[in-house]
Amino acid sequence: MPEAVTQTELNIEIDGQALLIHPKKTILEAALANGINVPRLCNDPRLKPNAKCGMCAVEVAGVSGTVKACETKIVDGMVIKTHTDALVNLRRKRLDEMFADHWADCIAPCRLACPAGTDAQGYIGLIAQKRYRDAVALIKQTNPFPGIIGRICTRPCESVCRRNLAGGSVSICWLKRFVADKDRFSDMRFRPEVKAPTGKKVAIVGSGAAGLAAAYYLAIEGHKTVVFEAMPQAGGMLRYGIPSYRLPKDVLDDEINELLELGVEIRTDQRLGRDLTLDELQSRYDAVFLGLGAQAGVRIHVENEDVMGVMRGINFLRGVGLQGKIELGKRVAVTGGGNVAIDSARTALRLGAEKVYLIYRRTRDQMPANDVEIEEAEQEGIEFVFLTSPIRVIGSDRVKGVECIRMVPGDPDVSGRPSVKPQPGSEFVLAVDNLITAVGQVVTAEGAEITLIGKTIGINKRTMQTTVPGVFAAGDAVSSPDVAIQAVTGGRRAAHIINQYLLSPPNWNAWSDGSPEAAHVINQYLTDEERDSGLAKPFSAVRMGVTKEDIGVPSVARIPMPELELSKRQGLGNFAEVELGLSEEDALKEVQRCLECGCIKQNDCDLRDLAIEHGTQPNENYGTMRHFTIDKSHPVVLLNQNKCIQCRKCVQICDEVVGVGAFEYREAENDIVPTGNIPLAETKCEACGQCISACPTAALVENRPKFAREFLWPPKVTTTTCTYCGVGCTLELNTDHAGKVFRVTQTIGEGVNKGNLCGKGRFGYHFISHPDRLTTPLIRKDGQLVPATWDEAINLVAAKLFEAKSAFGADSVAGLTSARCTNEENYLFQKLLRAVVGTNNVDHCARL
Amino acid sequence: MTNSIEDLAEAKAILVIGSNTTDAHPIIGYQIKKAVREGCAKLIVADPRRINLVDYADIWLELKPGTNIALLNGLMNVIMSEGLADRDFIAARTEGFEELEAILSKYTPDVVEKITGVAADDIRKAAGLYATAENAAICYTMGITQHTSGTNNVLAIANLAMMTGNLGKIGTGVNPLRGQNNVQGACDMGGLPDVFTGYRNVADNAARDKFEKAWGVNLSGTPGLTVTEIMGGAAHGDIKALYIMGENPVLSDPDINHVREALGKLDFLVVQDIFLTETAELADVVLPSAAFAEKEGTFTNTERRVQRVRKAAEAPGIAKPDWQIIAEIGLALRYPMKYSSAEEIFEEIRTLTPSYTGITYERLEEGSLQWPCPSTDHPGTPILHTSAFTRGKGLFSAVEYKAPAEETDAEYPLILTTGRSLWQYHTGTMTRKSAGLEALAPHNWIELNPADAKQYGLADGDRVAVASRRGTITTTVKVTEGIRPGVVFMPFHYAESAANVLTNTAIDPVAKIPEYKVCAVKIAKS
Repeated sequence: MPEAVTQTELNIEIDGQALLIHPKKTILEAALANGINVPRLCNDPRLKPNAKCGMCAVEVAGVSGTVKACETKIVDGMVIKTHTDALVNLRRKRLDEMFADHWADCIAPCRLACPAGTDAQGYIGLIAQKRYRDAVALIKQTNPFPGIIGRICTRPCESVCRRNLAGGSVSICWLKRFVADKDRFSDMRFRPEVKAPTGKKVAIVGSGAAGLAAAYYLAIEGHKTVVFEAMPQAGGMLRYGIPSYRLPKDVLDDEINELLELGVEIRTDQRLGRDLTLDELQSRYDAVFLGLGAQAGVRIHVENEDVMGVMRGINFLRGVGLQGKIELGKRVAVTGGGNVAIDSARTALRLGAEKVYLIYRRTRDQMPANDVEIEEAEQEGIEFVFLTSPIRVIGSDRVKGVECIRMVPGDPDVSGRPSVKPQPGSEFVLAVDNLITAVGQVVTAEGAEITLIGKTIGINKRTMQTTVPGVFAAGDAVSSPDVAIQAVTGGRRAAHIINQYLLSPPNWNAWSDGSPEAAHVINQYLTDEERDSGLAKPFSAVRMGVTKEDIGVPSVARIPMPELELSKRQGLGNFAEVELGLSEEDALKEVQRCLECGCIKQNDCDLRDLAIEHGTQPNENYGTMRHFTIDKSHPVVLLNQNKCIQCRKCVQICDEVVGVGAFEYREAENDIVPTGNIPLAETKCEACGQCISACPTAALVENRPKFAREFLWPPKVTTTTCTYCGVGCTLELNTDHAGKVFRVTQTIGEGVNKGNLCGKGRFGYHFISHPDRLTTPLIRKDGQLVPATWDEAINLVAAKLFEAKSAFGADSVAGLTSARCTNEENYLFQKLLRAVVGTNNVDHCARL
Repeated sequence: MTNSIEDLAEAKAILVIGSNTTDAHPIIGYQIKKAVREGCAKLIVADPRRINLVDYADIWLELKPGTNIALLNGLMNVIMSEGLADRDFIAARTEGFEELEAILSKYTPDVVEKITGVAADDIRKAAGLYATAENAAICYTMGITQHTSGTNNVLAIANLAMMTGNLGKIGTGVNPLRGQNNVQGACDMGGLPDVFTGYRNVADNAARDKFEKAWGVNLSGTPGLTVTEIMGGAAHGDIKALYIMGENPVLSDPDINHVREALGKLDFLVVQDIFLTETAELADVVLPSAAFAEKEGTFTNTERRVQRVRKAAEAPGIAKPDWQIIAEIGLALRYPMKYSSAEEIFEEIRTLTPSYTGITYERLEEGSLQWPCPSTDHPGTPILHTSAFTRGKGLFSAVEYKAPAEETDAEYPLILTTGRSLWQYHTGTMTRKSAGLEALAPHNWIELNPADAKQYGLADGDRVAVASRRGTITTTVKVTEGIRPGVVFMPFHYAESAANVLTNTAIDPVAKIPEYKVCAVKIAKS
């Protein structure tokens, strides 16, 4: 009787909203039914409320303290608040408690360490599956130049790689280069989709890593993008600062050419302040991006520094880049400890210098240059002179030598490195014909001096806008000299912001305002991928204090990079690439060393979502965290108690719904274990995976083979009907980026199954993409089934059915239709037999 | 099912007979277990094996395979003698009760105990539980139908339900749990030799006339052959050409050796499937089709619920949806069979099938519908026979117990019964190619009682040869208290050790279902 129901409904108020609710409902049910989201981790409509997680605490007027929404029934006149500051703080505290015992990585350390946030674990997994094009697509979401960066990066990812504990870090960077090279020589190269033209124009000044990255992402957004470059060719420091034995020009050209394919226009020999002005650009373009770099080498401030034969490293490299060579004497000294110094020294060797010294005031360990570069320089015969500083250049018309002094280590300085001081009386002279100084670069900002604040271009860090409205900047000109991947990241971030500036001024205004509301807008605007890649650092739990035992794999050494033989590096002007790249075989071996630290549920974890929502900070108090061994005993279910928050949903669903009871909660230990604390495979588990569907974290997940971790892109989810028994459960097929069904999920409450599934429904999907699937018609010829075209096969079937009918009558033909096929197909099949062939000989295995 | 799956929550007693529900229909299994655990329903399980549901049952009727009618008649005998029949329902809704009553008197619990091996007391208790419950539902599967007495078994179940008024209302019913995703739909769509869609008989002139007009051809009014008869026809040379879509009779049909021989005699065999199945390997032409994840369409579940199937991935290579392949063959035979979508075919089905007329793809987007659904404003029919049966009055059938076709003897002393594993499905075409499931149940086994194991000197894990009059296979022993002495069980999923090499082709005279659930075998250590 509907009237009766109406009469008994109760008036309540939630968050100021007046609601009429059926009396037997809980506060949580009432809220959810009316679109009011209450945080929760242990609630599941399939189960009795257990009220363990404490997240759904709400305030009820007239009741002191809080009540749990999941177990509190509504009463008439109840006034409920779900999101007060006090409640949010309470939930934050509760989350902190959970993360104090959550020994897990959400995002892999390599990705967290990458300035660009490149998903190294992701592309390594794709390489392992030989999905090279997808790997490049994934990398280019955060870094458009894997061929370049894969050769020259300083690899912060590798220094934090957990494999360092067992044979050295994974060769993350070399693998990036491997797959970029693979793509370069493929017929099906990855190219991003370019959106429809927006009609907006952007000028980019400078074609270094920052400018090119900005151009790439702006072009994809559909903006007309024009790059202005002062030098004769595009590339900035990538072309004129990095010698081609490290970064061959064809690799650089190839990745720059991709920009042209995307519609970017590059105008060279266009110097700001000489050939164009900032005012002109502002009047002709809707936005301007400055990627000017730090081009000027600094002086070393020693006596006689300006005599002929002394050069700044950056000028020397640029000269070589422009002219192919620079005249040098037989003996060359380079001073400095960074990559420019090493590059200068190795370049000098290639220009015919017979003896090259590298003078550095600290020790080898403290050189900022890449280890590999140092090793290669040593191999090539560069003589390192450590703990030494030049103090005077000798020679009146040109360099005859350089006087140096020995340095001794002292107390640590501000950078944490030991300070060095000269040792009086230790002076000595190195007889050299040239001195190349490589101790740093500064910004000049020619033509854009107006944007300088101090020595660098000043920007609002949030909006990346300079003091001039509509003019944005990133890269070395903003940060002072830094590594290329930082410049790429700056360029990409600026591109995202400029895109907002051009298309959606309201959102952009939010960017420029540092209020919490603005941060909220930003979070709404950003995709997960963007958030994860450093635009706003999202929460990630971090596994601290990992030991070799924790990793639990044997040490396997990393595969070495094959290098050009020393003899083949010799010869005047020989700039052949030294690192030859990993072979496919080696790359496929090397990827196996990846430990897959990042969590498989990083994008759909209820716990992490709440942590991000509540601004949780990673808990570094790892000493108190419990460490559990992962239970991989079961063929389809993996149990990782490190990620368990003791919500008990698995215990409940296995008991209340499935009736098996494969899990138990142990009060004394406060943990959840397979019942009897034995391996999961030895319990009565029926492998239905209902526990996986209930788990709010990744404590219970499908036990997948290595690298089958398709969380890289959001899956396509298709709601359909199960193909197994006659119950007809509603389930969701999840399709990955490659179009493969990789997972089955469910919506709680949906279908005859109400969101429950059995093992066949949940895990019986692998057959869909099994390599044994039939892909083409087959016709028997000479006793063998051989591939045929559809036309051949269909015509043969038609001819044979017709033949039998003509010779022996329609009833000599029969058909078996299928209980596995659709209604439409069954209908058509019997129609074919009845109407076309003319027989009722049609049946199926309903009886079998 | 006369009722809906959801209905089971309303039943006060559930009789599960010949159904290993938790393994074959786990989701319904969850529901039955939940109803029992929460104290809502009493559970009676009739099965020769100690299936999982027995742990939840108030009474387990551990009957000998093939003795269902004796047991059911025994239950009805008790209901009559204790005055528990629903006289009002019988009078108002049924006919033919007197004939039934006349035969029931001889099925006293003591007599039935001797035939079935079920204690007379348990029969009395079970009858009382079922008949006194306010609502009582019966669930059954192939344990009832795969017998030479299959049709009569079902009639006996219907007798029991009608006699107690357990039809046409919530929480009751005669509920066959159908084993395959769209076996209901395949029957609804006329995938049977004697009926068009919606179960209109081909011999019925009015029905035939309707389809002749719609399809623009003359149609045969002679019912065709069933699967088992088709195989027989092939063996005898009457069937020359056979088109098999999505079936694997070389593994699923009884007496596989006979099936292979029959298929070998055909002039032409075309098999359409997603894998090169054991049957496809014998074909002259193999047509590659799209799997359920790669096409659009509808399935009809065991409770007559029509639900959408949606495309989530591309078919591999140049494989196509089955409907497209069939249509192309039709076109090649010069028949105008042109459809641009599965929905277009469904529209044709609606116009020709009254029970589906009210169902459209558009409505299915809003939710599934249970047929009969005669018009687009009809909400569908969760419960059948609420006020009348299809034929008007419900007809009781006086069915008598008859022994299975093959009985044990000195040479073949054990009864083999076959069924499914929780982790494998049918002939394993799909599940055996899903790594996790295959790892859970990678090979075949034979269950036998410790007493039999002792007699044959067998232990867990021993390899044995199992032989029937039709063939021999080898498998691995699993000793279990969960099966009665003299009976052995094997699943039928495994091609390398195919239980259907052993099974009997003897069929039910009406439904032509083979007797998979009973055949005589012998075992020996191999």
